[in-house]
Amino acid sequence: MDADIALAVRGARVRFGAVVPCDGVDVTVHAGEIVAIIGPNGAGKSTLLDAISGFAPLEAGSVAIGGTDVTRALPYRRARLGLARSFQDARGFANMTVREALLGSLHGRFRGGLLAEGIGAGVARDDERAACDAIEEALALVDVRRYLDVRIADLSVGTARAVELAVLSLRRPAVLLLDEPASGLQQSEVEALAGVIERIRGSAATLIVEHDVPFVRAFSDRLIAMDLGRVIAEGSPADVLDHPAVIESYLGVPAR
Amino acid sequence: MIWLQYAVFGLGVGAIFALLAVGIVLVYRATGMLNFAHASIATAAAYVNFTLLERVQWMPVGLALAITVVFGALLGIAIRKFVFGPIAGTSQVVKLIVSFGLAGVLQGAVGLIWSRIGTPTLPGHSLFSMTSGIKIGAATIPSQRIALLVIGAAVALGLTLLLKRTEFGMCVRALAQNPLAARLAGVDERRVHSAVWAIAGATAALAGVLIIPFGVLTPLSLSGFQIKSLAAALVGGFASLPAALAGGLGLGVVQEMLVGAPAPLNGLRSVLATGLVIVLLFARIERRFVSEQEARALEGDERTLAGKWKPVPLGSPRAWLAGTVILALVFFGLSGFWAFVAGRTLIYALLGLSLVVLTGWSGQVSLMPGTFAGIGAALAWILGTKLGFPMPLVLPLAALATIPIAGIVGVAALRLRPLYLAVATVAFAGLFEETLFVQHWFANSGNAMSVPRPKWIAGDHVFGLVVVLIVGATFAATAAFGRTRTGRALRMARDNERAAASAGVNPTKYRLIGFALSAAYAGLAGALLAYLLGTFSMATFGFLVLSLTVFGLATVGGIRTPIGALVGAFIVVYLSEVFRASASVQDWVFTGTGAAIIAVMAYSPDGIAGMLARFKRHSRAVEPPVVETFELAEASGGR
Amino acid sequence: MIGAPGTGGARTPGTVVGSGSHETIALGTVLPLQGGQRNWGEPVLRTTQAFIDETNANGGINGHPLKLIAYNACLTCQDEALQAVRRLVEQDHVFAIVNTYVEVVAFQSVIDYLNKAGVPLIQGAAESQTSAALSPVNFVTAPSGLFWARELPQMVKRFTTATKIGLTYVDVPTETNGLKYLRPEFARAGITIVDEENVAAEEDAVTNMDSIVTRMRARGAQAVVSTNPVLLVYGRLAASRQNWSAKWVGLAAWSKLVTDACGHTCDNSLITETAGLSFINRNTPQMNQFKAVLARRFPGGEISGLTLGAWVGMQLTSYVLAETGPDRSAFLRAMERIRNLDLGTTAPLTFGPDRHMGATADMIIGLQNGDYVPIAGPVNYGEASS
Repeated sequence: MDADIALAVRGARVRFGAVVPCDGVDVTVHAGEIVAIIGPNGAGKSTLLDAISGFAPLEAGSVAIGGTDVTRALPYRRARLGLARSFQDARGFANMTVREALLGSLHGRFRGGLLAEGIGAGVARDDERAACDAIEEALALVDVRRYLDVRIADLSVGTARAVELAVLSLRRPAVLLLDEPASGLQQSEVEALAGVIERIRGSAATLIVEHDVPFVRAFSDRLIAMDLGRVIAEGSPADVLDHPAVIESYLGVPAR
Repeated sequence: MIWLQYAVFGLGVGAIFALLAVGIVLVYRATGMLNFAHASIATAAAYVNFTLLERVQWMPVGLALAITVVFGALLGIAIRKFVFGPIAGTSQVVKLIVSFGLAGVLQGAVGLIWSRIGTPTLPGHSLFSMTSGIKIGAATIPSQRIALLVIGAAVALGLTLLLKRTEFGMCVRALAQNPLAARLAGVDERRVHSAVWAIAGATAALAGVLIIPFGVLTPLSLSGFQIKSLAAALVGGFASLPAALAGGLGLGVVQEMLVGAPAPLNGLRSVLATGLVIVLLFARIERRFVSEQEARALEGDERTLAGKWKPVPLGSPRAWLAGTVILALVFFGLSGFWAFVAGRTLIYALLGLSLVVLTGWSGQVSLMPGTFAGIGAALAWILGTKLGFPMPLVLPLAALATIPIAGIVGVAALRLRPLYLAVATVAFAGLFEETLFVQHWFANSGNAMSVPRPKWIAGDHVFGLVVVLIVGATFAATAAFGRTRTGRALRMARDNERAAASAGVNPTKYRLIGFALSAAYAGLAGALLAYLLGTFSMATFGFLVLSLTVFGLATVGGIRTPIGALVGAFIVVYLSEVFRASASVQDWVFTGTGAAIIAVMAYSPDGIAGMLARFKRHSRAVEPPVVETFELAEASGGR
Repeated sequence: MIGAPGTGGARTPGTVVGSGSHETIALGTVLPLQGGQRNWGEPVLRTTQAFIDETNANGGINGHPLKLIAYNACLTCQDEALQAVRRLVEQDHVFAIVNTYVEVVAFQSVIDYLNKAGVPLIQGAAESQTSAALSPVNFVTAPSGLFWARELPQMVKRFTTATKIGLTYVDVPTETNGLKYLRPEFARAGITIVDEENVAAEEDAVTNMDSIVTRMRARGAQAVVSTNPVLLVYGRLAASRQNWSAKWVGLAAWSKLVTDACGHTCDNSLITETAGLSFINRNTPQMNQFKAVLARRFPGGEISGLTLGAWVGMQLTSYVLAETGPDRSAFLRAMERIRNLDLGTTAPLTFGPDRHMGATADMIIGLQNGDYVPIAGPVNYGEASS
């Protein structure tokens, strides 16, 4: 069991001056699992994602990806170890076309250096072919083919989100972090979202932060509820959503 | 006693810096624009004041001052409307670049307007006495300096109170910290900004009129104070008026006391301002004065330009190589003189290309291309003339050796936000000019250096051909580089550092690669220029003379694409040759380039190359696909 | 009336006036004409043009009309200057380059080019040169650098009582290069330099001179020497603010800035010189002609080292042209044969194979009632000891 813990967060605490958005949070995600984190605004969910991906420094606690401690590692190193995350604003590389974003996400997979590229060496050419194949793979999962040469800034939120997921799939991540993937989508798109995530995630351990409760209820294996920087409940979706503390944090009144 | 005298003189000198700094801080604080044109506004006002006093016989000095201050306010409002308005929502860096354009326009306009009337060379009339005043020991501090001090302090404190205690001040601060919320709360952004610019313009006018009596009135006489007043403003993180006042006065006092200091300290005067800027930027001084939230709000949003940045084709490497061959053939039809001009154009294009890689692709605004070129040229002298290496060895070595020196700046750049990086490059340029570029072993102490061409390519045509081949090959290689994994990583790091890091791109590494490549190009260009001129001195590579020109041509041509550098160089070098007979060509170049920079930033950030690409696209009537609602279900192949 | 317009042909007997073709002789010049640098470029341009227009109105030189082609290049812009000169020589086919005004260091590549092309360069109003030997094609009417180095100590010795001086200069190669000649000459004259103050740029002079003056005074300086007119003027003004009556001695080459900016403050306390140009009140026909033509063809143009220097440059050029015609090598040889030529507006000029800076004497002048007045001269300290 311990062998396939893809993501282990222990006692994570983040401090910004006098504010402590995240205080002693434990999260464990196994390979293949889908864990969702819910909680009201200000609960610290996004900060937790930032801490895991390396954009918020931990005052205390640790983060490990696949057994390797990454507490002090820079974000790009964590990405190289197999961590992939989406951002709330789906238009990460606004000025690039979809094709360029797909190619860009392959950065970690192919290692031909500057010199090799400069002289058009064999390894670079092989990489080019492999890149084309990889893109075809991604398009098979998420068909954004007709938008390949469109700038990401010109896409609607839903399309941009789909593109982002295709981009993430190319990385073949070990751990997938999704930050409010349903935000900005209309209802029909939300319903399709689960399917798309399912197709692209492969066997990655998936951690989703979301507000849309029905969406995560149907979709996730486990639920974690946070409030004011702490985990207040953890377990199966049904159990967590019936938990009195959870209901209170959302509705503000004690459950009857 | 003597140190007291130095200190008091220093207060008088520092008051100049402080009075200018106050206007810079006000505009930055309210609008996020770090105004490099502030001294130019002061200069324009000084000329207006002079004209009033010289042309209108009965004009009392005080009335002229009042009218000039009003002129300054009106000029500020005009700037708000025509220059600042179109770029109000963009990033700080864009605003900085636009302020360079504004400085060019103002300087050029002053040169053009007053060259018709007759260039004044006299000190203007001063409001207070220049010869009598207060005695301290054996020295007399003239009343004009004391007035400057008192007025400077009064303006600084008055503006501080205005910002802190009045409703207007509250509107200004609200608008700066959270524009959307302020607008929703009913604050009229245009009125508030107009008022702020009017005050800044009036302050600049006041400074210009009070300062000029100490010197000779020429279009450039106040520009020397720009970097010093910038340093003073930076003492307050560009945000605190009292700190800017203190900073200016402190800088003046230190400067004058260094006059009395013994030998090694005494020499620090020349690097005082630039050194201070660099130290303060590194210490992240702005953090002390600006809250994180306000800093982010002031930073502005580059994405408001996103709608205007269209992808411009890089051109295939093969096309570039073909173009090189064609140009080489055309070359032989040119006369010796035009071969020389063409060579110079291509070298400037190479310098522009160095900025395309650094600023366009890697997103780091640098105002040092001339400095790096100067390093390359000096290295060509050391390697080629002093050490006797042959030219085919000197060129690549000079290019490579420029990299570690530029690396100093590159490493520094990593810590700094885009705006502060740009300011740091200005300071570094000044620093290099005062230190490395005057060394005996590096630059012959500023004297002429001779870099003769080898006999077999001494002729204009042959050497020009060499330039064509080298520059053409570099452009082709760059176009190829743009398509590689590394080139893409460079642009990813520029577009969104977080997203790039999440994709496994190490932003630090790629920013340094951008710097290294840019330095190599600029160094190569400098070495080529050394051989082209045959004899040169470091003055050719000065900030005003070369760096600003290259920055202007690259921006106007199109900063994100290699073709832009070529277009820009052609316009700047070729056009100035066409107009060389005209007396005011330089003033027109300043005005034209400045206006072009403003227009480009506001309407077509991809410059002329971008406009041409768009024109081609439209004329082919290819419409981009309309993207409306997208069915995720569709994309996932049905449920 | 040697060397004045309208007297072409009077020099060499046997030359028939009016014979030969009437082809125009083109002369080129490169000057800073934009923005603030117009102060230097424009007076030179207008005066040169005035001389040429006057010459043409009087029949040209041996019937050849003159034509001036002027291009703009900033003071320190080397590549622009080189490009402009190449255009003048290769595209516009000028006979010679006259009266350019570009910073000396920046001009080196131009001189090298003109050398190779064999094109004469005659400079009347020029930035002060430091070395006496110039290139084979370059002739300057001003005295040489060594001349200044010897003259300044003599000026201090003769017109002040100081044995200790402060020295102030601008930190540019043109001036710092001269220091290595200047210092030993002061030592030889028995004068001690107690304080050296360099100023980074001329703009700094106007704000920093109070401290600099204070320091020199504290170090015991009894007089001050400056190699730059801006420092001379603003230093003297600062000194007077501090009630320091020491005399200021320096090179101002009869600059307008001194009279305009210093005015009465500098009366009897500032000693400068005329760069080998004649003193304004010298009553020769050529000097009067210069004043008259200037008033007529360049109204508003003031008499200064720039305008008079430009005039002298043209006088010299047309004098030799009248003898040799548009033949470059003959022109250069004739230049080098000139001995004690008195053009009426300068000190007598002497050139030679090793001597391309021609002035042989200087006038020492000072200020009275805000105007230049003669103090002594003509003097020739430069040649005194060697």
